[in-house]
Amino acid sequence: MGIIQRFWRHYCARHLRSYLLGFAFLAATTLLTVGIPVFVEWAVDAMEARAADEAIGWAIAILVAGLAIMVVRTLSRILFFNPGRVVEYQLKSDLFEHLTTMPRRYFDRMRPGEIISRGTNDASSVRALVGFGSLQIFNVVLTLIFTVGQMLISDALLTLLCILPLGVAAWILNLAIRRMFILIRRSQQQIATLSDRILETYNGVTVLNAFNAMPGATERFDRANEDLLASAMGLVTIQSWLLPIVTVVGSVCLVIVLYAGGTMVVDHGLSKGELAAFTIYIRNVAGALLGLGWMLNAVQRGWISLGRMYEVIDAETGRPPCDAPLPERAGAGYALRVRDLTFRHPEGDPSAPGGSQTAARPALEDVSFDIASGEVVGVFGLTGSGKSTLLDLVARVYDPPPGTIEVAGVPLESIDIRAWWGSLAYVPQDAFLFSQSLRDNIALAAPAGERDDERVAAAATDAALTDDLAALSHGLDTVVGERGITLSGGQRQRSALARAFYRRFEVLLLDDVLSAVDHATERRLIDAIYRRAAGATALVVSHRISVLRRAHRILVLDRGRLVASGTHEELLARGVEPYCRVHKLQQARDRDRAAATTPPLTEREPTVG
Amino acid sequence: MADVKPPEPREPADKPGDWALIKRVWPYIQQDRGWLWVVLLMTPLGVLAGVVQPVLLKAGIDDHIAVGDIAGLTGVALAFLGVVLAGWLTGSLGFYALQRMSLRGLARLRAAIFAHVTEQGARFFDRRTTGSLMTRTVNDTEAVYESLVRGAGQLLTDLLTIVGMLVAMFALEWRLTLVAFAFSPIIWVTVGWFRRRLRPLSLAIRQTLSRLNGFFAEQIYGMSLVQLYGAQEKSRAKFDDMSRAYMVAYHRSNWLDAGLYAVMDGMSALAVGAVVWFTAIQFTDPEPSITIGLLVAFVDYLGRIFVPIREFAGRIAALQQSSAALERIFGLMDANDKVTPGSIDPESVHGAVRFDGVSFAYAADRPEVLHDVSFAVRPGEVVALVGATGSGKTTIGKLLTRMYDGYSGSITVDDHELRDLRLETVRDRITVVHQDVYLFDGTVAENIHLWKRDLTPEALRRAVELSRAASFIDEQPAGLEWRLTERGANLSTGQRQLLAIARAMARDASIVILDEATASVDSETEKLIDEAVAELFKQRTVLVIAHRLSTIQKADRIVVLHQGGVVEHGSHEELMALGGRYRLLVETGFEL
Repeated sequence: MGIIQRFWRHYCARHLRSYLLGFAFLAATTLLTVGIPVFVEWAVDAMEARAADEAIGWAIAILVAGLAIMVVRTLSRILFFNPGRVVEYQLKSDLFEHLTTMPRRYFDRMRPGEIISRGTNDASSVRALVGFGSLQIFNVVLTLIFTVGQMLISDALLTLLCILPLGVAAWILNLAIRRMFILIRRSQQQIATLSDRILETYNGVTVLNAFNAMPGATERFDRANEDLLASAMGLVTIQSWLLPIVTVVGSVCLVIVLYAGGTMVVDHGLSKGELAAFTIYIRNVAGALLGLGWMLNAVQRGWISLGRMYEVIDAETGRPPCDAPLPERAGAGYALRVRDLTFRHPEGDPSAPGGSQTAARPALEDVSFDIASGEVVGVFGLTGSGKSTLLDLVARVYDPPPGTIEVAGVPLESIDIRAWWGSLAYVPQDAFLFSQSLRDNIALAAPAGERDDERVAAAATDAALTDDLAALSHGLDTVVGERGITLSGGQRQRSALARAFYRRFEVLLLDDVLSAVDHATERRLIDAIYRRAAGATALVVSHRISVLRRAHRILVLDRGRLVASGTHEELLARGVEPYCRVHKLQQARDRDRAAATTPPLTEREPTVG
Repeated sequence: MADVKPPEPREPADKPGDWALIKRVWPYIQQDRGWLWVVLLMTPLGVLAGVVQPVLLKAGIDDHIAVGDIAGLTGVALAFLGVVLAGWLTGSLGFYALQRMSLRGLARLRAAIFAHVTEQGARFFDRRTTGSLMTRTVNDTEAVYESLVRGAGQLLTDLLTIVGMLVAMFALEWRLTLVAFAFSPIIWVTVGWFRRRLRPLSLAIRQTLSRLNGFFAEQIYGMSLVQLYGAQEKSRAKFDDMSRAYMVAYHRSNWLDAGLYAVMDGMSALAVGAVVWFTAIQFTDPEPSITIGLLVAFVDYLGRIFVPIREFAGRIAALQQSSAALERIFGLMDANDKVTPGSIDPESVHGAVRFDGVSFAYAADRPEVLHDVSFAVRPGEVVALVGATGSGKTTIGKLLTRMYDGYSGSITVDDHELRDLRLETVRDRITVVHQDVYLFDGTVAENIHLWKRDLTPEALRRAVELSRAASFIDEQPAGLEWRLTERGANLSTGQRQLLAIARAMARDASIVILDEATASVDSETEKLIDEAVAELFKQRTVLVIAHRLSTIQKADRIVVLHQGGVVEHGSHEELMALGGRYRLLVETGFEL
């Protein structure tokens, strides 16, 4: 089924009655609009015949028509515009609903900006198509039929003389508008480039100044600024010389009416009333053609936008059917079995950590390990070692290759994905908070209206948020994010952790959640994490040895490969690098931190060495 | 350092008058004042052409058609055609000139904002977010342009049109003019009623839309979390609610909007009706005082005058918007935190640095981070600055590169007071290796030379090799032309550090400040960094903000800072023997 048919059937067909009624009112509006010049004609002819009373009658008819137009035009516009809004609303809802089912890979490939543009700008273009666009189509068609029909009845030759130049003008206008939209799109891209340049410069202002590089940066800015100016000038040229074309040609037609029509009046082929009426007809036709130019573009863009929206609505998840139920729990949490796991982020995917580097080598290569149910396993590795990718795969944020991960003996890819997600508590590295209250952020997993405030409070306490909450203006009800208070990195991390604590989970996945918390808080949080992890299987990624050393076992990743596995003591005893080196550095730092909080140097001296 | 910025300073709140605003805008359009004359000359001519046309229509009908004078009619028609074409030329030229002038002026204004911001010292940026500066530079200038295009630019034309046509109509037949506008007061009141109700509604619509779009964008960015936490239904319901609120708000405004449009549309019909009616009454008289030509001319005027009247209020609003945006822009331009430039430009800098009783605070209301700091560095010497976080060692680097002004005491470079030296000289002769290198969207080469034209390819190559950055750059097929994406997301921490060193080596600086990185890197890269640092130490004065013992031991001398003051200085061995703060730091690992 074609897009047009689907669009009509799903979204527009139900508004048929509104459209039909709107069409009737529109026809009435157009008839009345055409009626006015006709009444003027009859009134003028009556004046010429010195039938003043009749002329007064036609004048009153014009007044009545004017009043009637106010009513029917209002109705026709409402009946056409309102369905457009409903269609936009439903289309957006469907688009959003579909997006909530799409895998992360889709968002990476499409880029968030592009998806957002389809849900906002494209939706508006479609609305313009079904609202303003459809009204204008009928308006233009009806006006042309009625007006030109009436003109033809008066005089065919004069009509032709006027319509031909107006038609050419409308065609030129249409070309000009098309060119304008190309330039508008170009200048929008140029504004984006210019913004990037400015942002980059402002963010790097100290660097650029320190290196005396501002002249170079300014040149880059100037180039972008001038490019934008050039497109804008192109736009202005069209706007000033070509957009008035229909109006100008309309005035030329007035000259034609005056000269050709006037000659006919002298030869008694045309009445003075008809001549007067023609001056109004031309204005009406010119107005309709002016609308036509804009309408054609609105329609064209609307169709393109509709196609772009359907592209998202029709996008496949790319996941094979997965409907196996969650396996039975055996004790605490699930056993995980990872075999020969190799994973490569798609080539050229800029969102993949490591970017083009990982395109050269897999993010994970031949990783195999087993985790018993209820085991708490630490994961250690330097930046780019594949720690986050491992968690993303276990959580099925990205789909692991089939057969590489098993949950309690069941292949992960066959398990119903929502059920699997329902058994997880995953805190990704980037502590993302939504701009709503902290309470709602923590209770993200709660169905609407079923938030358990006691659980929220308990989760916040365990995540060591108590002191921060006291400092916030509205405690847990403080709205975070753009318009609310911006939290510090550590506060964000702990809020994200509280969000996981709110859940009942079988598997806990923590990605470097303690990187921005201070020393004292860290100890409390480690306690809470291990307490909460009891009764579940857990994978805890961290740079900090202090977090990892309490795990039952630690996996050491290096450039995508699993290089060692063992307890903290075992790893130290075996001298596993880079684990040991980092351990030494962090120990020294922790000692120094402790020293910084102790009394002044002179008094401490005896105890040092 | 705290990652929370203090509240943004409110830029001067007193509203400048319109005249003051024009005076401030003038310098940006002054260069195009020739075009201003074009605007002032052509716009009235274009309007005049429109005002004259109905008069010609009347003349043609009454003076020639009515008496069968075809030759005369031809003359009028030709004149008419001339007026139409002249109107197009003059009107379009006037409009073009105005737009051209405004666009070029705005481009200049944008460049001026950019220059103003980028000339500021670090203090300026401490008090403002990049977001607000971006808004001034991009969004506000765009807002000025948008409102100019949407209306402010047309204001003059519209005003002249309305006034010109009213004058012409009164001159032709004042009674008919009064009759034509008899309904105006009622309509005026009605339109006012509509507009008053529409204004809050359209504000509400804009707000619901921006909330909806904001929510949508946020959900897209956080979709993984929504899915992982099973919040799909909740977020769909919320989206649906917001989307519906937007639709409902629009439905309400549709009524008013449609009504307003229809009333305006009907109003011109009513005016035509009134004019025809009054003319018809005259025809009860055997010698009617109004001719058919005059009637046609009036109907034509009515067809022309209502569009500018309808748009007038909108254009005034657009003008107000653009002046509000301009006020915000000039508010920013009035704020100033520049570093005072000096004028001394010595031929060469040998690299002697001396701090003498230097004290400094980041702001008047903040505690001093340096007090009475004194030390001297000889040309070619490598001095390590050592101390815990907050000891002031980073601040010393910031003062020396003149990011901040306003220190007391004296800092000299080759016996010249630092603040008396030309800013460009300071920045050319003193360079920095930043701990976290800030990368720009561009090639590796661009990120090293930073668009400095006087850097030869050979010098660039040398910097890349000496800094050992060649180790990973040469692995890339594109080499130095390798494009860095997303601010260098495709580089590892170690590679970024090597790039930072290459950037400094590409300058012909005699003094280098090395802000040593703390992030851990793999052992091979660490070896490369050590080699690069050793290269850097050759033949230059180097101040190292040090974190690693291996680097510190390579220094000729060590200055130990504690809580903003120098507590010890000497060689590694001397200081270890002293058994003070330095020894404590060494024994606890420097990992700060």
